[in-house]
Amino acid sequence: MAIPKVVPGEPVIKLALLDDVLNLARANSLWPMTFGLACCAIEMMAAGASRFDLDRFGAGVFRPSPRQSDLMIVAGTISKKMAPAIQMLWDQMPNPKWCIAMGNCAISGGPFEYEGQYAIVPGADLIVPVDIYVPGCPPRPEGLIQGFLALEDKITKGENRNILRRFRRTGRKS
Amino acid sequence: MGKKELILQKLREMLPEGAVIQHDAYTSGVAFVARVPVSGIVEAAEVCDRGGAYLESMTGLDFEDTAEIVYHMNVYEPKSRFSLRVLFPHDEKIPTLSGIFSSAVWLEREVREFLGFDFLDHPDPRNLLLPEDADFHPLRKTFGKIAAYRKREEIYA
Ligand code: SF4
Repeated sequence: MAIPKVVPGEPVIKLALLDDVLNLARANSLWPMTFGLACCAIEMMAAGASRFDLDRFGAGVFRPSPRQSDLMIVAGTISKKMAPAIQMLWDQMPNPKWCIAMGNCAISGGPFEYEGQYAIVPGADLIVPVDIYVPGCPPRPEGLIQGFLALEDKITKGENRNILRRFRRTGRKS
Repeated sequence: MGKKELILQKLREMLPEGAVIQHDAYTSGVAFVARVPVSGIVEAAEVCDRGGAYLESMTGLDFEDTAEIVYHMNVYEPKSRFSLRVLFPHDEKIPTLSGIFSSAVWLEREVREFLGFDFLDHPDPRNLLLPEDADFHPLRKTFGKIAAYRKREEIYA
């Protein structure tokens, strides 16, 4: 009997359909961590409240513990003193996990990044792997929701897919 | 007589003539300013504590010729904030007030890390807001590209 070749890093048994189903479940029940760093967090709270209602996408269950969450929204300015704590929170989250960098501060340092600055980490991607970047200062809750939808698409359809496909201008023919 | 007036009276007795300046109109946000020598700050703080005042905030100023720490005290009465100002050379150690006001521990840590003024017998001299290994003092006028080092009398006429 031929022994099947095992490629390092690949699972021995692949259950494509089961993976798809699991990913669908993961994408539609993202549990973000209750965790905000600066002004962007206020906008994140607004997105979670009734007017914008993240529960529509299954993402309204903000968990108070990293052990129970699978999404980290880095919402705000990352000070150098805060960076180790963020890294630790990220390490405490169980796999699979995703990260949204919300706001210009979390993307690149925003208004606080200048020559000779001593206080902040310019970009969440310097300390944790980021999946989705949501620009704005702060992004409106609609922007964060778009980030959520893009992340859901990324989870179900993989890295390479055009994650903005769902957002067509209304009234456009095609 | 309110608590503030009692403290004012005590400080007047303790400090030399002209060291306490009153601002009755309260336009600058303080009722009076007391200029205290470094050796008398603990005693002055004790007077404030016994008079019912609490330490509201603390800040430091860096001038070319001198360093200065401003203690803002307040009483739970309307318009009663007052300040104690201490002038000292940059390398002098300031007695800590943490034995009198517990909140002074954090305030002094902040002044220490941002301005590099040292406190004598401070119970917990770690950095409060800056990273643990920071060896710079961002609010010193010599930090970074800022070039605005002035003498005190150039700013306070
Ligand atoms: S991006 Fe703007 S709104 Fe968001 S945390 Fe930074 S400064 Fe605040």
